[in-house]
Amino acid sequence: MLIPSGIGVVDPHYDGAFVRRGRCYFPLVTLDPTGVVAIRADAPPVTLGDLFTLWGQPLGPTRLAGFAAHPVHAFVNGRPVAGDPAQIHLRRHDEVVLETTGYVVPHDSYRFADG
Amino acid sequence: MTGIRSTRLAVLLAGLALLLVPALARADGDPASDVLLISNVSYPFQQKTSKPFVAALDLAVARAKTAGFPIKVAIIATPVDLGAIPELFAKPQQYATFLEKEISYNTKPLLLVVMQAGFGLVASGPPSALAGLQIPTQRGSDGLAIAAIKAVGLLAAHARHPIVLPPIPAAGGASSAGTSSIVVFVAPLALVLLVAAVVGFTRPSRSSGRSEADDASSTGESA
Repeated sequence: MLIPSGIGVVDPHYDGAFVRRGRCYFPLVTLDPTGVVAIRADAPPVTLGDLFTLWGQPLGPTRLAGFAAHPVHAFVNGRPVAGDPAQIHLRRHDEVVLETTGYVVPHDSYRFADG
Repeated sequence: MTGIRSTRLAVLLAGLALLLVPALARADGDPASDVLLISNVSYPFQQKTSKPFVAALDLAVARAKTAGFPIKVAIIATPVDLGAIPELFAKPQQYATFLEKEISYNTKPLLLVVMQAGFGLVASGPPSALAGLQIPTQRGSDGLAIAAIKAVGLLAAHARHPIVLPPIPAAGGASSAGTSSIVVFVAPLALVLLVAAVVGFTRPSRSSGRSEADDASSTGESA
């Protein structure tokens, strides 16, 4: 499922799939469709729920965007995280995987670009 | 934006992902698989490609699509471009096979992967179509883009959807006509002329009663 670019960007200007600039930015944004979330260094602690709120999609123990009625399983850096996935804190270079309707071996790492 | 930190979220719909990648369960870990769902070219993330080269490759791919050869291109310059699967760096064909499974849903996409180590192809043509094509070693992502532009032209020509390639930008940003443009455009034209000449040569001659109209049409064929 694609995490779109432009989350957290007001009036985003696109160059293909990428956001090149916007009128203003929230503390966490997606500038490309790869799922990488950029968080301003001086931002207060942010959660996965904050990201989904900015995206405009629901997230809960049994709700993942347009998918409902199945448990949502969360993994951070390859390890399962119990509880409400919306409460997961986003930390630098975390690899967060959300799964529903089945199980796929989650990634435990990701080669990030600088930042 | 300055002073940022990054994290990454991947959302996997497991039933769908398992269906698509039975042998490679760790789906959706590479940036190109996301970008190519929306765009036709995925460029390196860390080692940026210069704008003139981006414009030239985008144009080449667009012309190929218009000509009936809708190829998608992933340029991989560093392991960062592979996200969760950096172990496939320098293995272009392995990565192309992996990537194709991630981005194919109802259709089988034509795919070209370009790394410094070589090319990876899925459904876009045989490796022999790119035989002899060199990847510049000194120009980073721009060199990979140059190789991609030429490869798109050669693959399109091999698939009998020849295109006129855009000029390949020079190192300083100016444009110079690439030899591949000549190869891709002139070679099929020369082939057509050769076939026409052979057909004309082998056609039974009508030595008597040949009209001026016949001469005119014959001239038209060989022109």
